[in-house]
Order: sequence, then structure tokens, then C-alpha cells
Amino acid sequence: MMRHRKIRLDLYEYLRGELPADESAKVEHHLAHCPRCADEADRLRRLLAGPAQSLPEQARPPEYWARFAEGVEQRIRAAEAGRNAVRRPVEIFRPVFHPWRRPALAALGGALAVVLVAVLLWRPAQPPPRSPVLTEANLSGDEPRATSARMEQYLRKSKILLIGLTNARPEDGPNLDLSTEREASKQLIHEARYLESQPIDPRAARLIDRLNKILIELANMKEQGNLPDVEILRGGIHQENLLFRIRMAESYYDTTATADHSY
Amino acid sequence: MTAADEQQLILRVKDGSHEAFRVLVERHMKEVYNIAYSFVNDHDDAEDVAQESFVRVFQSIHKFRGDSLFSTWLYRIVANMSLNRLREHKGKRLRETPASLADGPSPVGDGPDSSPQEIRAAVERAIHELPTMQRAVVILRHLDGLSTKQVSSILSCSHGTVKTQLHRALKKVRLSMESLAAELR
Repeated sequence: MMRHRKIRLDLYEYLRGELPADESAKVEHHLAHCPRCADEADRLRRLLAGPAQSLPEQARPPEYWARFAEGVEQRIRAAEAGRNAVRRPVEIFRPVFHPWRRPALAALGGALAVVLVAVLLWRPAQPPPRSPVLTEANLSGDEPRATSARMEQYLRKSKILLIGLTNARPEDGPNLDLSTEREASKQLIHEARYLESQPIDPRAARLIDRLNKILIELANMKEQGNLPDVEILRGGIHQENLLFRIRMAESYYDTTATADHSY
Repeated sequence: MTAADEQQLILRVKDGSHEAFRVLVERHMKEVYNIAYSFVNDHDDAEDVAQESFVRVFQSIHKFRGDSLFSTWLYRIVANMSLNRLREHKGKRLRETPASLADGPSPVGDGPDSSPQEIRAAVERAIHELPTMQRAVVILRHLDGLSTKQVSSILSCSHGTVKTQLHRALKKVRLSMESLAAELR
């Protein structure tokens, strides 16, 4: 039994001519005397003789590879920018905690520290540094401000819709009233079509694509949706980590455009 | 590029050269992508994991002492990050259907009427449905042509495990193809 198992594990390398000569001879000898292993070898040979399979990299066009290194570079710079933003407050506070040796200066130092902390607390909080990947200047095609504003609204409304769907409970009976959600999803699908026709960031485009899968399902549901179907949608939202992805995208599209609160 | 050239590049990266690192990225990006995809089975995640792996490499380049090949070190990082990504999504994935299969199952068999594209699509589907480890081994060993030794290094397992996983994976793919062919007769 062990012998047969070892031979079968060696079949791949044997058929590809990768075994050392002595090992190859052993396999050949065994196959000549074992019909079952010989049959397995024939089947594997037929599979390996089939059309060559493509590699995952081949699913991406040449333009994708032309931009790949740039994408890595942008992530490195974003990571560096993030680390520098964290480092700055520590550097500010370092002199405050430096041990003073002269008591006379210690009191002055303490007073200065209090003033310094008060000034820092009063200063408006700085927004987190944007990833260079998604700042307006770096977006492929220079995404216009109007599109960014509409993207922000689209994301906000999608988030509200998905949170509402996740938390909805039936008031009466086994079904949920989805009339509002269906209308909202249809509006969002329509808005997604507009956004996809604009020069937007590829990540945003992928997020829209993921959202559309849920929105289309929701738009096609009956007004009185049954719970099992809603649970499937909720599962899809959870599996795709959509709320997290929307929050990440929102932080990039945070604009000063006036929010449209109609829903 | 020779091994010596790559060593020079690595030294420049250790000195902080982004340009030198870009050359390394372009040299290894497709392989890194294939490794990531073999685990995560999704092109968006593969891109994310692949790019984040390079960021990790850049940030940790000072730790590379040259005890192993740079590619071995890099590919292990990719494998670990891919496994981390899978753990994050454990039990929660909606598996992406490869674009070639998005239109649903295609009739295919071993018979003379099956086109190479149909057979290729059926094999791709069968590989796509394999358990993670088996899929990774098939893609890296069989499609990508890495040696058993390289694959065992990337996956941090023994040569025997690589051979066993490959044997099981190819058997599953073969049985899948044979049952499809039988359905069409």
C-alpha cells in the first residue's frame, strides 16, 4: 500500500520528466506491473495533456501592470505620511517631559507646559492626512469636485440604507416592509450609473460594483420582503464587508459640499 | 537581471531608494500576484494583498539578511499576508466567480466536440473550487511551474505535503472533468 501511494505521489514529476533517472525507472517498473497505478497515470497524463491553463496574472491587461508599481509607491508614501502624523505630537510633548534639574526653572517650565497644552487643545483638530492615492490631484483623470460631492452623497445614502436594512425588524408578521428601501436602492442604482460614467478612482468603481449587487437584489425584492431573503442580503453585506469599505471610501471623499438630507 | 544585480538593488533599497524598489516590484509583481490569488481566489483581494506585501517588504527590507533568495523571502511574506487575509474573511467570503465562468456552467467534456476554451474553463472552475492549500499548490506548482522545493518554502510545509496536496488536487480536478464528460455522453 505504501509503495502504491508513493508511486502515485511521484506520478506528476514522473510524467513531467522531473524525476531523477533511478526514481523514474522505479516508477516505470511499477507501472508495468500494477494496472491500477498505470490507469491512474494514464488519467493524469490525459489531464496534463489538455489545453494550457492561464495564470491569474493573465487576467489583468498590460495597462494594469504598467501602473502596478506606482500603486505600491503610493501606498508606501501613504504609510509614511501616516507614521509622520503620529510622530509629530510625540515630538511636541518631548520637551515637556524632559527632566528639569534646576527647581527655579522647573516652576517656569511647568507653567509653560500648561500654556502649551491649553494652546494645543484649543487648536482645531487637523483632518487626517489623505492617502496620496486618492487626493484629488492624484486621482486618475482628475476626478471633478462635483463628482466627488455626488460620490460622497452616494456613499452616505448607501451606508444609511445598508445600516437600516441590517437593523430592520418586522413590526407585524413574518415580512418586512421594504417599500422605502426599494425606492432608495433604485435611486442609488441610477446614481451609480452616472458615477460609473465619470472618471472616478478604480477603487470607488469596484465599491460601486459590489454595492450594485446588493442594491439590485434589494430593488427586485417584493415590497413585503420575507425574512429569509432579507437575511441573505444581510449576509452579502456582511461577507463583502460593505459598511467598512464605505466608511473607508467616505474618509477619502469627505468634501465640504452641502449634504442633501432628502432620502 | 543577475543575482548580483538584484543584490545591488536590495542594498540601494536599504539605503531608502524608492527607484531601486520600483525595479524590484516590477521584477516580481506578477509572481507575487499569482501567489496572492492562489490563496485568496479573488482578483481585488489579490491586488490588495500583493501591493500590501510589497509595502511590508519595503518597510522590513533591513531584516533581509540574504540567508535565502530574496524571492523566497518575498514569497513567504505574500503567503503569510494572504493567509491573514483569509483568516479575516474566514467563513464570510462570497467567492468571486472568474470572469470566464461568469455566464454560468458551460457544457464541456473530453470528447472531440469540446473546444479548448471549454475545457480550459472547466478546469479553471474545478481549480477555483479547490480547498485553499490544494489550489495554492496547483497554481504555484502546476500552472506557475515552481519547483516542489520552492512551493514548500513559500507554503512553509514539507516536500511530501506539497506532493500530497498536488496529488489530491489534480485528482479532484480530473474527477470533475471526467464526471462532466460522462454527463454529456
